[in-house]
Amino acid sequence: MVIVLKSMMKKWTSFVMVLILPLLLIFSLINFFDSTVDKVEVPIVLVDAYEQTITDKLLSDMKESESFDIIRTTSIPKYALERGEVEAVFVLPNNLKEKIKQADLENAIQWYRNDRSLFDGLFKEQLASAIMTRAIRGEAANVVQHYQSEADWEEIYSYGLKYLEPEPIFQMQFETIGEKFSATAESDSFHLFRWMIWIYIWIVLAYLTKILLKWKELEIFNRLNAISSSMPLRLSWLGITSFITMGIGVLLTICAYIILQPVGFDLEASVSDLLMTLCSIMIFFILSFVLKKKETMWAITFSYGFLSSLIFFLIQFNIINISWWTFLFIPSWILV
Amino acid sequence: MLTLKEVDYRKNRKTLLSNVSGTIEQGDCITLFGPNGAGKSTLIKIMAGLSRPTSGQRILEAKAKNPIGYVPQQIAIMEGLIVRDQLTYYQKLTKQKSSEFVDEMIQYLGLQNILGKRVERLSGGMKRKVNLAVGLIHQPEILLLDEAFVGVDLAAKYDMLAWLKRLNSQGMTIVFITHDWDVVHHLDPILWILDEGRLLAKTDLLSLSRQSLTNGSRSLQKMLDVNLQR
Repeated sequence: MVIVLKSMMKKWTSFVMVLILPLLLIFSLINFFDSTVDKVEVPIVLVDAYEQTITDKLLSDMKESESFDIIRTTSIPKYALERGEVEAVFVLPNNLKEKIKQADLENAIQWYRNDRSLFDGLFKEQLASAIMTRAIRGEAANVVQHYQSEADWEEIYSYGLKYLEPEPIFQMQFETIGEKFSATAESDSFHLFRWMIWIYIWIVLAYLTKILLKWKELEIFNRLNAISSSMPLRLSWLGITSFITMGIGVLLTICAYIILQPVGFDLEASVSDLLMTLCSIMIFFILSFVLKKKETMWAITFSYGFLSSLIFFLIQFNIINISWWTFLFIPSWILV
Repeated sequence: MLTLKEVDYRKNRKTLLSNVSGTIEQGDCITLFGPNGAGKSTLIKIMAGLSRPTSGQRILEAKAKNPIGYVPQQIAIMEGLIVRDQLTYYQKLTKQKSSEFVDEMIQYLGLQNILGKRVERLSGGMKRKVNLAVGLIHQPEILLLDEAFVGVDLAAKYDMLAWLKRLNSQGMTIVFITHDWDVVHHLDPILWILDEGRLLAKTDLLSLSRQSLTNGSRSLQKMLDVNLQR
């Protein structure tokens, strides 16, 4: 088998590519599966010329939003805004706390933007929400103190919100009618990742089968059949190919487990992935008996790969349902 | 040893061999001679057991487990390997234990200096020698050579011919296809003359004449004319 492996590694550069490509795939996947929204931080400047403590409180109210990079300054960065280095500038007025207490917020905040600003509207809504929450609490404290003058305004302001805050009245649930599975963003990413592994293995298999067809073309199998049988050479190829593709599969699965665990990677699924790999190997092994030309093999590889991927995505996006015939396309097994 | 009885071979509704009969005994040296498309390669594949006759019989009576050595028209060797690995692989596959024979063959064919070289880096002639060595590695009883001397320089050709002659004198049966009249003269075989899938005659070089093959095609007649004038 070692001699056969040596022969298969005739073009060692190609083999190195076979080993490097999964790493490139993993690298690209890391970027792919990281939330792009989290990566993009929109720079927003919050100007508080008077360095008020209420600004800190407002910022802590808004800290859950990681989409904005909030820069706090005491003056308006006009040039940065003009050059588009910041998305927008919000200027807070003096005595903001008093204004909130008195619910006197009309035209309180100045909003500067440039002609390329896109996402600052979202920040405006968040800032408005944070201020309005506090204004409602202030208004609530005012109302309570109006009727009970001995009540402590600060205490009512601090704890009043929990009485006034509405309970959630909507609950969002997704259900696919007709099929008993639910799709989530996490499982979509996971399925996509497994599809990518299959595509990669499918191409690697085509590359390795090309070697088998080359031996056939050179009449090496004929020579072996004349001696005894070409099966030992074919079985060696099968063993080496299984080892390489399974190895790549396991490597990618382990990496995926490390990378994708937070988005719900299911280790049990990797067992079915191995089954998919095995079936793919067997398809190419059988094809090697039937086919004579490498060109035909590549044509089959690409058409089946393309068609299978198409079926996979049609099922993934609920355009078609899983049926008996979809199982003829290996990637559809991922969605079961 | 190897008998062909009324062998017919058809492929895609085309008759490639028609009613070919003959017996090959141990120690025979036979060349399948004829123009392109005469059915030589098809016949040698039937002899090797690689193709099955559409009708008729191929009967092989041999003592060894692997009695046939087949050297195809293509250089059927794994290019990524060094020559030594190549020979070792076939030696292991055929369970050839006599390293004495292998060593002698390496010497005769002048392969000792290229054992560590990768096959893909060898010249065409050297590749042909390795191709022959691989076919012979298990000391077959019958050696079948399909145009094994194509693209070989004179020196390499005579190394190969000398080795084959020696093996033939030791009792190995050799059946070969060639268009090279030098090879025919050197090995002095019995000619099985094939034309358009029919076996026209079995003759030796001395008895061969144009007149004896008047029923052959124009291509065959021309081949004989050119070669007999030499």
